[in-house]
Amino acid sequence: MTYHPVVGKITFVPARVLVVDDAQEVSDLLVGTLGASGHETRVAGTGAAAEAAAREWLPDVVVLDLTLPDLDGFEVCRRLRTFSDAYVLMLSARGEEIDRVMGLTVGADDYMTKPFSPRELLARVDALMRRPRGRPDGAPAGEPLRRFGPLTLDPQAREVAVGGRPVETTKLEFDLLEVLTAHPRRVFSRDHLRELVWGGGWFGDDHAIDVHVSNVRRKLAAAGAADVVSTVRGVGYRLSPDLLAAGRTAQPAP
Amino acid sequence: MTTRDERLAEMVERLWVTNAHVAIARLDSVARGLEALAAGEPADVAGVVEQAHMLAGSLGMYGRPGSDLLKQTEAALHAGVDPATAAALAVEVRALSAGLERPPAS
Repeated sequence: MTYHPVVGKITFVPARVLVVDDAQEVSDLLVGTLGASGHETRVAGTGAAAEAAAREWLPDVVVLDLTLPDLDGFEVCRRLRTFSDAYVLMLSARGEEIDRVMGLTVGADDYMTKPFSPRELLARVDALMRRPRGRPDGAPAGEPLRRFGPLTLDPQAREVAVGGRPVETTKLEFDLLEVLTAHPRRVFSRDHLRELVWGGGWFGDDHAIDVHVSNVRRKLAAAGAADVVSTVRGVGYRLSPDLLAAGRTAQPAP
Repeated sequence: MTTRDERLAEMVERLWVTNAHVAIARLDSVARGLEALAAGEPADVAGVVEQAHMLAGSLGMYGRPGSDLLKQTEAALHAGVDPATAAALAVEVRALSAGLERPPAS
């Protein structure tokens, strides 16, 4: 959380950003800028590489240049939209209205005309990450459902389900799962979890976190989802890589 | 300017030092193409347009001048540039390149 003198508190949400640009000096600058601000990045220099990386890496945001050596950015965006709901921020040195309209028509979420300042790029990516995605089941826009293999978590309704069947959780157990599924590849230390889940209301030792994690594991395993939370020895906890490999949208919503 | 902005500006300068040679090489390619067109010699116009397009996007992002000139060059090449205009643009591109190669005044 950062504090802006005019608008007050601003939530920073770290993102996985796929940078798609064939000009090395541009991709270096974008990666450096985003990485220095806490975002995780990967680069693709062609449309085909971008499509493959988006399927394999599941980015939150795709920063997509319009001019690529193999496919144009419009076509890449069209293809991404068939399997990904990542935010697409289209870049071009062409600032004509028709290009901006075309980009937004094929599913881009934002459009920036080069040259732009690194600060503006950061502001746009951060703004996208604060924007709620529409839910795939047609429910009103808000926080999207999170699906990992058989596990579904609905942040708005605060509901957890395994294979479509609801699982009862306590407030803290839900909050733990909420944090882990919000950043499914991140390893959280116990200190970090304590700060995110309990905030200022913490009155125990680290063992209590282990107990809550254990309860989460037990309840989800009983419902048919074993090993949802992995222990990373000497560090903390993360969502199970096996669950991630099963895919974010492998199961239908309950 | 905040500390975060200062760090960002420093990083951009470091990356420019690393990548300036790429921009200089692209500028040289554009200038050579324009000089060939000015002399009535064959040139890889599509390749020159591509280099000009990349530079139009990248130079300004590093806080360097030249994006407008490169956009103008790209547009002129698309429209079919005459030898006199190509020669004038080549001179400007060479001057831009020389300016970028000079270390910044301290």
